[in-house]
Amino acid sequence: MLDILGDRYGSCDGLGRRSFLRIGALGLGGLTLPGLLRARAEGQSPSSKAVIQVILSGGPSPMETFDPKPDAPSGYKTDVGAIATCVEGVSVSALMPATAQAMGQMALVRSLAHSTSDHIAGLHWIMTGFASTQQQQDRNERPSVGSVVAKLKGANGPGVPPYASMIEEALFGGLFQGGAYLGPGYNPFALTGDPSGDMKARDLDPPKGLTLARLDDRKGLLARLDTINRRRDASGTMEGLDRFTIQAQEMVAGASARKALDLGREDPRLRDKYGRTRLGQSCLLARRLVEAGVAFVTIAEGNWDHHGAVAESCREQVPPMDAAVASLVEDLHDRGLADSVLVLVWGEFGRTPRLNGGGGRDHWPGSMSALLAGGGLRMGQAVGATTRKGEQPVGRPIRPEDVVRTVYHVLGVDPFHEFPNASGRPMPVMNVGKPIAELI
Amino acid sequence: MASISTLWLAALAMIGGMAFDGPGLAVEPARVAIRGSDGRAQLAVTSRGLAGLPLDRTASSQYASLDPRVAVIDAEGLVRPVGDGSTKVEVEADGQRVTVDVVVTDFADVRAVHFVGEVVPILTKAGCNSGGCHGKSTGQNGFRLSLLGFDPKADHEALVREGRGRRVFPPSPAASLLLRKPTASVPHGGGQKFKVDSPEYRTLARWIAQGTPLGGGPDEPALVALAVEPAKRVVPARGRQQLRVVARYSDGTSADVTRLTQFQSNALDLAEVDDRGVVRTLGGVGEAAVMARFGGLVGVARATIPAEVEPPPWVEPPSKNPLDRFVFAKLRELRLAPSPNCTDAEFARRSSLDVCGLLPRPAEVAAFETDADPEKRAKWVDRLVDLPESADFFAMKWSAILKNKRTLGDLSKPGTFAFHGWIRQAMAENRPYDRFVAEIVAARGNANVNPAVEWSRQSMDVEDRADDVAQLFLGQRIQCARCHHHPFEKWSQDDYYGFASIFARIGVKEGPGGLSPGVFTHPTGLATNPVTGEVKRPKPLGAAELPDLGPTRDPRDELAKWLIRADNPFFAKALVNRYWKHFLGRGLVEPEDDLRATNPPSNPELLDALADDFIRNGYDLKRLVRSIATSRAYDRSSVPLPSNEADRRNFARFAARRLPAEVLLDAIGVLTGSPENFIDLPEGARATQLPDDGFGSYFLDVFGRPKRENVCECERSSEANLAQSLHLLNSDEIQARLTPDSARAAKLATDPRSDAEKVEELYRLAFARRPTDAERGECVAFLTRRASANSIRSGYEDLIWTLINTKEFLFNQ
Repeated sequence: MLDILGDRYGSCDGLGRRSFLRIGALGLGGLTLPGLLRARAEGQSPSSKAVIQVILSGGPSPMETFDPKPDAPSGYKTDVGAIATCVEGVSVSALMPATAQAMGQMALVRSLAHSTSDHIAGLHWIMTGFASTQQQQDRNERPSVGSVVAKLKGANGPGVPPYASMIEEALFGGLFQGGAYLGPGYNPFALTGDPSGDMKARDLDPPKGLTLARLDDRKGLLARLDTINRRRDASGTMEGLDRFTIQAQEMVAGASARKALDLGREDPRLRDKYGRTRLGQSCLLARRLVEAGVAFVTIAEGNWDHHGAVAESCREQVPPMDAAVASLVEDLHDRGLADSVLVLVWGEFGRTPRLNGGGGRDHWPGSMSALLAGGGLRMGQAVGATTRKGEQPVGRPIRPEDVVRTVYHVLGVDPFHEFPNASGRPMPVMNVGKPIAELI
Repeated sequence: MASISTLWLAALAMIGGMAFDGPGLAVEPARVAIRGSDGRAQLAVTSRGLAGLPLDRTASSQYASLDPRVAVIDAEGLVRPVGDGSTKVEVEADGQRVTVDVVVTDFADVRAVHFVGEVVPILTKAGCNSGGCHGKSTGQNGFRLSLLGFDPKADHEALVREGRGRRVFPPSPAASLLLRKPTASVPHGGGQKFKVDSPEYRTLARWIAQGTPLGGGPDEPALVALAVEPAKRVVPARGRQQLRVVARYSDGTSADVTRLTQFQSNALDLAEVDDRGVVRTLGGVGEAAVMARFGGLVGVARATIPAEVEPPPWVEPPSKNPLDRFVFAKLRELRLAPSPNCTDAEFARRSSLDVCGLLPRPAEVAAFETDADPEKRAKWVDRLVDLPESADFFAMKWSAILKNKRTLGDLSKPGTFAFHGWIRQAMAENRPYDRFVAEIVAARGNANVNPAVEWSRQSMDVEDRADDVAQLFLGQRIQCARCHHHPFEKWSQDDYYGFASIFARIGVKEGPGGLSPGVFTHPTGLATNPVTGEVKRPKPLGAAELPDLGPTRDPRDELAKWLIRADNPFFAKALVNRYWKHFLGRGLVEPEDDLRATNPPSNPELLDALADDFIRNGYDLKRLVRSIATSRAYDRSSVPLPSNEADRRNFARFAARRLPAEVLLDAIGVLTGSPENFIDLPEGARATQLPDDGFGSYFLDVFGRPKRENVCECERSSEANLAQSLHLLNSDEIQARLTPDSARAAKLATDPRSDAEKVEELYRLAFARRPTDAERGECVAFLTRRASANSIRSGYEDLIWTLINTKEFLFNQ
């Protein structure tokens, strides 16, 4: 019975109380298991995995988050302190108590590094897995990872889009979440606004003044008048539009998308635990979306570009992030979704281990950290380490492309599949990098 | 029944000039010469099939070698050497017998292994140097080969000098990684590529044992040509054809290299090809090309695949248009019947959308329908071509692929607006295409005097310019050759940087905010091949190097002259193909800007005829538009016949397609009576009149308007997606066009005409046609229901909403 949970996700105090409850529930026929697990029991593909990616845009400082370096000399060392986690030998910033407690269900990658200290180029790298070839890009040269997933995998359930995003409006330098040569059909389904307040999905609510009954009347008339012979279009686009029309009508009139987006259905105590912040509620909403069948969710939060007073800023920003991420990981775990859903938290680069004159840290791609959780990967570890001052990885550096390859590995996306770009050149999904061996 | 089919095929065989007029059984080649113990030679056997067409019998003949001590032959016609000497093989099918001479020399393999002609092809065929493996620019696990073996010298270096001597080990060839890896004797990420003691293995082992010679000396024969046979043949829809590939060397010798050749089909829905060179057709109809790659050369074989089904009696629509002859000859060859004539309403809507980007006006369509003039379609097109809206629409097309974009935000605006105006003026006055292009590529001066410099000043990157000119005006995608030899073309890196050098003297003055005031000719400037470090002098593609022009003359002027030379093989074809696609939905070459020997046109005679006519008539774009839009190919119905349902390449029927984003937005504006308003532009400006990319619109983005970052028309997307459906079905934006007092719905609600008349008008507006009785009844019943609930206005709103959401509205068909 215990095997069902797998042995990789032991929480720090052994098996938690909730886990026992779930085992009990399974014993009763799994009736209380939500979303994906139930869908699986009904015969959906057991590989219907999903990813929730949290981008901390601006470049979060490893010292104040995932790689605290308590032994670094002064001038480097952070003021915020470090705490032990439940995984022996792994400590994190003292601002992250929830993460410390949940570390058994997480893995840190600390030997991550690349070579650009430009926000835009760095974001392109982590969002697509590829360094951009030109400076100051304002567009995807390669499709975002979510776009590739949308194209090759699609959604895990009906009535929801495969790829969704929740991006803070004023993000530093934009975000490379587009489909590039895959076409605009593989851009994310964008949720705008703040889920802790007013969240809106474009074109999902009926237009003002229209009742569902009138929508139904329109739908009926459309069905009677839209009778042109589909065989006129040999390309299949007409039939494609028909499929999307049905899907859109389901989304508008049906329950799944609307329900997934309704945070009011959550226990207020759970909402409190995630934190009533934009990031906290976005993480909770992301969990609801993947339960409904969305395969890839990107959340992005700005303001992690701490050139001045990094400790002070982090004292404000890290605790809510800690609550959001740790709650998400624990929640997925408690719902039995840890194997199915991979959480990935990172930013476009690290920050200078040496503090600058203003007590801040500047752009530093030479060492950075990422947090991964679930997805069937090996948890409860820190992969790689940085030198004493945190300036560079000890031994083999892991590159952003290795992280992306790990994501594709989890999702079962063929990294060598090729798409033609605008000049007809075959562009592989991800022919560089390797899945991170320690995590598999 | 059989007799009709046979007659048909006989006719077709004569048209195609491809009848099999040999004896009962023909075997190629007549004489086989094999050199070395690993040489092989492929026979191809042909008999007379149905109606005199050739039929491949290579896999269904009996073979026997008269002296198995010299050579043996397998059931698939592959001859292998056994010892020096001569013999014959006998080929028998249907009771007929043909004898082929076989001579085997150098069975002891005294001769040195040819690195370029024997070693590299093995690596290519096994996929070692492919872009997904060791051929990618970063190599694979530390071992890097040139992509597809186009740089044999570098490959020799990588094999012999790098890898600390482990890759090749002459004292004990079998210990070389070059043999242990591909045989998977040691773990190999790529798996097993060939077996120990296979011919590939033995050739590589012998090359290593010989001390890994690079060869290439003056006394060594160089590879000069590749022949793929048969180069063109009719193959049944579910048939096979054995290809043979022969390499010719500078010493006059030739060798069968079929088993060392890499094959690739360009039409995977029609034909596949295996690594023995056997083409199998998959039941479709059309032309398939198979590319063969060997030793840095590419060749191509074409298979014409006629329909299997019994053709209906051939009825050719009468035509005075000279293009139709070529279209119908091809359809006949493929046994595809053309769909019938489209209706007048369909033609009016189709041509208005394609020539002007607009829906036709209801009154015009009604008059057009009743016009009895047999030339009325030609006259209709004549009128459209000269409308200002046509200049708008083609200016939009050219502005997008000329990347007229606000690269510097609002700072760019005066320049992009002026360039768009310049393009529009050229379209309106029907400036000859050669002049239009010359004025763009060689533009100089200040932007406020010559708006065409916008194109040159938008990118200062020499390589970008070279890529864009080649792809846009020549249909040559040469980007590949920036970093490596073009994998499907003759273009080398030297060709590339010679071409790029033409743009190396574009000079710009510094201006505010990075915006240069204009473009001048820099006195010096050349491009450098980054691999060889060699500076390349300006040289148009496939032409002679330009003479030294001194410091004042601009090589771009010479480019402009070369573009329009009568012997330029690309310029006119690239344009006519682009315009053909604009109207027929698919290029004769597809993608439309990828013209190359290995991507042959579906109808070469038609492409030639279009290009010749275009040149002869002074590069007259409007004339070209008229000529295409008045062809019988253009006015076929999009409804398929059973016998042309599978056709996508030969224009047996019209290709329905979704309206472009801007055209759709304008059409919705017309139908709802609430057109879009654009900031900076006068009221009533249409989306097809937008001068550049600087007009934010969710609608246009979600329906795939191009971002103008690329010269490829493929940047414009006509794919369907979920966001489009949601937006059309359920957005505040569409709703807000339906409900205002000024909108069509409100006006129709108070219009005294009967509902039936008003429904008729809506159908004319949206679809150009009249509603059927059933449709009219459906709509009137719907409106009556709403009227009885006292909400007739909502009835019209919902009816218009419904029409917008039909495929008939969203598509041009």
